[in-house]
Amino acid sequence: MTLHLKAVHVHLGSAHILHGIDLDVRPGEIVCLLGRNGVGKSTTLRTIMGLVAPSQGELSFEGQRIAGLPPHRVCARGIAWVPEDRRVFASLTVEENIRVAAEITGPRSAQARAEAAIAPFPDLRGKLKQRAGTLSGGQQQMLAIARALAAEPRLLLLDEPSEGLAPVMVAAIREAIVQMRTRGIAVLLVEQNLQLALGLGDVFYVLSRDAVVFHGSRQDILQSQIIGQHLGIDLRETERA
Amino acid sequence: MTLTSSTIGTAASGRTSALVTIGVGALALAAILAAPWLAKPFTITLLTEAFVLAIWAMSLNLLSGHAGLLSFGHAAGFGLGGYAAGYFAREVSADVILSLLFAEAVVFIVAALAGAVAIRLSGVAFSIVSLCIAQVLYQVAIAWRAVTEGMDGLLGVPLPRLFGATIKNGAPFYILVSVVMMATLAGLALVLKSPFGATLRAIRTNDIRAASIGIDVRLHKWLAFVISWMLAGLAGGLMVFLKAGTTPMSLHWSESGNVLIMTIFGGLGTIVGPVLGAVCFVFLHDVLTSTLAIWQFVFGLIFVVVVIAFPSGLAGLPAQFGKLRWRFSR
Repeated sequence: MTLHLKAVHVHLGSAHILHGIDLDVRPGEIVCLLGRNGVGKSTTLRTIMGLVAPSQGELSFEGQRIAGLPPHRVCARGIAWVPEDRRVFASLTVEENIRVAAEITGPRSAQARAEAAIAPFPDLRGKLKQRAGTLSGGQQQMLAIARALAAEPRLLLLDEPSEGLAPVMVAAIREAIVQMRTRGIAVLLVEQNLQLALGLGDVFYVLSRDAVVFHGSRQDILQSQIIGQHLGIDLRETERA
Repeated sequence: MTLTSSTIGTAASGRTSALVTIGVGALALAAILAAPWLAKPFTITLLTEAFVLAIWAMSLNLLSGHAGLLSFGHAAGFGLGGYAAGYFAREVSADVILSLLFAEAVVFIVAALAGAVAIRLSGVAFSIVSLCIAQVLYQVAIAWRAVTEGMDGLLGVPLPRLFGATIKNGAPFYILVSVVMMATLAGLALVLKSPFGATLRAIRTNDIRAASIGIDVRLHKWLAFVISWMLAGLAGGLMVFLKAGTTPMSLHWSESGNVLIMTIFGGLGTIVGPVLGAVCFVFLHDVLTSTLAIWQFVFGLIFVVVVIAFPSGLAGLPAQFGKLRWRFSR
């Protein structure tokens, strides 16, 4: 098991945000976390990353407990996070954005890590010296993913990577996620774009009212009524579209 | 990272820019080293003071401009370095290297402890805590009479000695300060171009995001804090030899304000900006105080106008004029 969450509860101030989440991600698997806005999908990712402390429950990665670790230590264990607003370091160049992450595990193989990170994104190759803040939204998303890959993670947390992007960019992001799977990187994907999620995911979790209400394979989710009940989407309509 | 054909144009313009920088740098270096033969002794004294303050401003620029920790108490490292170097020179040895090494050791110890507390905060909270730390040291300098001689100040610091020879005020001390200032400038430029510099800028942009890609934000902020204080201590140590003493005012919040003005005036977050800011500050101060009774008002007015008209400071002027030229040429 790569990532294991058991009965994880999260409180933010007096608000009870997550009510005992159970979630597993296996090596090389793409796991999709679905749900309406505000059900705690992003909070789940932030909790795994150490940005939010769980108030109760088990959180382990590759058999080691990660609850309570600061974000940089979680990252050192092999988990990287691409947040939903894809905020890159705007004043740094594209190359610097990637190098900053690649240098963390030591300067010796930083070059090779940076090369491998940018490989899935040929669009960025011609823009290495350009300031990241001047890239388009899609290119910034690619850079945010490349930056996360530069740390050579074994698990990548992706928070709504297709949000606000043109279809051509969504296709490029999709291709990059497929490449990650072939490289053996597990992905925990939070995504509102159901078509993208259903096309990529191996395992699906649906969150509703801050708890997991469904867990199963693509086949299971397609056969169940869960999407209509909890996401308010008619799958037949989605497939026709 | 390898270059592709589409980045060759960028590389070529980068080379042109590097050549211009080297050319301007060589001219500035020649002018600085030729100054003792070309300028009047009083101008040399002002330049010496300006270069010492430039080191101090560069240290603040590292902390505030690059690491994003705006300090309202940067007189702390400067004043502490001054007291430590001055005390060592007067009581133990006037050797400038030993005095500065002693000052750096003292500043390192205090900065390591103060930094461990201060960097846990950010934004306004950090600024206020940095101010409080400087004010605590200011009160210590007043109260600890046995060492600091209270409000009278630490006076009678001898002329510095280097390899057994006394360095007199005027041109010899100016050369020493110029060399230290240029070495600091070159060293900081290298540090800021290194991955460490890029990491600091990443933290300044968004420290949560930086942490989530594996950067130990606290460690980097602490390093920036300690290096910044030690550079400020170096400036303080040189200043105590220039002035032959120091007073608690070197730790006062108003001095922290002055160095902030120099840094912003020159260009916060740039490389040469603090040097330009310190030189302009010293010469403008000299001209205004000798000609105007209301010099503070005029000085403040100039500062406000420069900050509003040129947000990137003096170092950002070429880029700003370039933009204007481009706009008018269309």
